[in-house]
Amino acid sequence: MGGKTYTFGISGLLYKSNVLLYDRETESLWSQIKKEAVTGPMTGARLTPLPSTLTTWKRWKKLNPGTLVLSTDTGYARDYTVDPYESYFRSPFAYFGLKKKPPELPEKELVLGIEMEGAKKAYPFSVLRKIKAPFNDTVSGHNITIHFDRESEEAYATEKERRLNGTVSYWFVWYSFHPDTSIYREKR
Amino acid sequence: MKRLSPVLLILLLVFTVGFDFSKHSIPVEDIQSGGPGKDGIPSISDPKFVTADKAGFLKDNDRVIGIEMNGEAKAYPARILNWHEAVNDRVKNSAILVTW
Repeated sequence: MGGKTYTFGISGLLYKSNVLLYDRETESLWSQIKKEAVTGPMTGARLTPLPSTLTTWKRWKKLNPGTLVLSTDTGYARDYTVDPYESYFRSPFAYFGLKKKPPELPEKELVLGIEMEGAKKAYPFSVLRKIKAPFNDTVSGHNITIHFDRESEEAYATEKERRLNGTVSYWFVWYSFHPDTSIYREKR
Repeated sequence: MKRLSPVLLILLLVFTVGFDFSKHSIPVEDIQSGGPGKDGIPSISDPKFVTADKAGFLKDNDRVIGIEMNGEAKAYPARILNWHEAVNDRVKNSAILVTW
């Protein structure tokens, strides 16, 4: 950013149940979902989103045989065979009591969230699992294609074969940052 | 405005010590403690990588965040990200941040 490199740590604080990171250079807090600094000298500075894929190891390795993988040699003694969030992942509820339940979908339904020119749309995984993908949709006048691989549950959107930045998150997180979002419905 | 209870206020002060709130774009009272405190979850700043054939700790159905930039592909396993939540890395001379 601006020719300078910032290094990020985990602040231990949350905003709307979502992680706040901090940069070690200025101690500003950064919202993970907003991808911008929300307190401190860097307030308003934005990170440039990069296209990324949340998928299974099997599928990633198949599509990218030359891939490098983050090593478990992290410098920290952690048991990487154990998932510290297993009970959270299984639970249908958010960790920290929500002020208000999000409408229409279960709070921990996974959604693919897309933002185009200020318009937001959420594609619930429960719908993606049922319908035939890829399929086309319109967001803010843009014709986009939604892709979903059933086996790996990889979900992403493209426009004219260019990959768009999307966010896969729990519905309550997407909704709390984007209460004006629309929801994709199964066409009957 | 709802009055904050003294206990909550003290907790908020304890947890927010060390950060700079001189400027902010969100209401500071909407910031909650997540539990472990600053760096209680240690992010990774000096990541090391292995090739796919050396990644025996991964199972086929494990989830990974994959990125691909100019022919360079990297996978960040959820198994590791669960414990660290963020990786400060470089790809092709650009600083990148992977968050979970």
